[in-house]
Amino acid sequence: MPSAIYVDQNDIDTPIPLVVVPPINFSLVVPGIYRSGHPNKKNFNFLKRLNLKNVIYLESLKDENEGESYRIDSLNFINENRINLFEFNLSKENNLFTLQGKQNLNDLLIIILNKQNYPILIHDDTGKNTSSLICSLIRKFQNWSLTSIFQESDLFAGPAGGSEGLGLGEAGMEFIASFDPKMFKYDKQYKPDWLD
Amino acid sequence: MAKIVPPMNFGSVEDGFYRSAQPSELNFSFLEKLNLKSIIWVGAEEPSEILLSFLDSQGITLHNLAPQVSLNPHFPPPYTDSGVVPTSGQYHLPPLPPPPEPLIIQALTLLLRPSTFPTLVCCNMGRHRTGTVVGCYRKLQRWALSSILEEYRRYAGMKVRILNEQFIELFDTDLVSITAEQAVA
Repeated sequence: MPSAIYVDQNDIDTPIPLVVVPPINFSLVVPGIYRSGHPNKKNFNFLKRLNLKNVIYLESLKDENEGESYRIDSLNFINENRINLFEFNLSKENNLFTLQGKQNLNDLLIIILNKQNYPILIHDDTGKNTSSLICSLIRKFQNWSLTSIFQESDLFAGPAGGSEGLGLGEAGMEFIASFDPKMFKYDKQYKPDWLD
Repeated sequence: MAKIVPPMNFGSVEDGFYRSAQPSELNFSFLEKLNLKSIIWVGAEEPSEILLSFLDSQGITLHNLAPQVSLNPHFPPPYTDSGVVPTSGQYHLPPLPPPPEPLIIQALTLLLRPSTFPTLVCCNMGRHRTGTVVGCYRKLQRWALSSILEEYRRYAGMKVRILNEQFIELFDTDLVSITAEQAVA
């Protein structure tokens, strides 16, 4: 119930923060799955209200030079709220076409096609690239037409579109076009409600 | 299986609360899947006949906020959301005014009633009038203005209207009254 977000029944005595800040490029994809850019501490009040169970980070947690690259404040938030953090490095388009990349994508889709794992936040750093790719695959499962899928990704890439290397990119679009959801095997028992 | 096509500028605002441009025949099989209870039409023009007959056949309630002169003091508008066609000798048009405040209040009042959902808010292009309704709704949810405008601009594309953004910023949420019973009933 959307309006329940405005007045939280369970939490009616605690003061509502004056202003809440969703992470950049935040949006609802399908019931139970959200997408965004990288959250930071300004977003915690907002994220708390989503009661997230899982967070999927689409870039690499480990940076060879700098060690951990997941923001430490967000990591603390995730631990404090007992949220599971998954990492699937799909940030480079050519990763999609390798065996390891296919395995990563496979594992990721298994998680998001199981409604027991909801609510999930899927995010990359900007909320424009890899999260659009995953969101597009969800739309493929919903049998959306390709132009509608690409148009939705363009909304998130911003007015400059793909010209800054943001958004889906050629390889990403090709990957989405050739992805066949019917060939994908997953546990039908916990099939999400947004699938037919 | 046939592909399904969502309306232009379609998006999920919340679970059971969608936004889009005016749906056409191509989008009807998509709309059927949403199990809509109502559509809130906030466009300045009347919705198309074919949309009306679709809503009728599906038993979807239409909240048509367009033709009510009390909500739209300037109806019919001199130009439409879908574009401005300059008449001869008139090349520099003043910016379009934001949607009238009574219309926004009426739309928000509907959006705070649980019986409205699942619902689709739409206008002709799903950019400005719809975006302003959603922006004011986010204000009720206490979103930061920067986040509200990020969402507004995402759908407005290259055609951001500063007057609409100003309207969202200055909109007084106290104009919409809500009680806890209404919200969770």
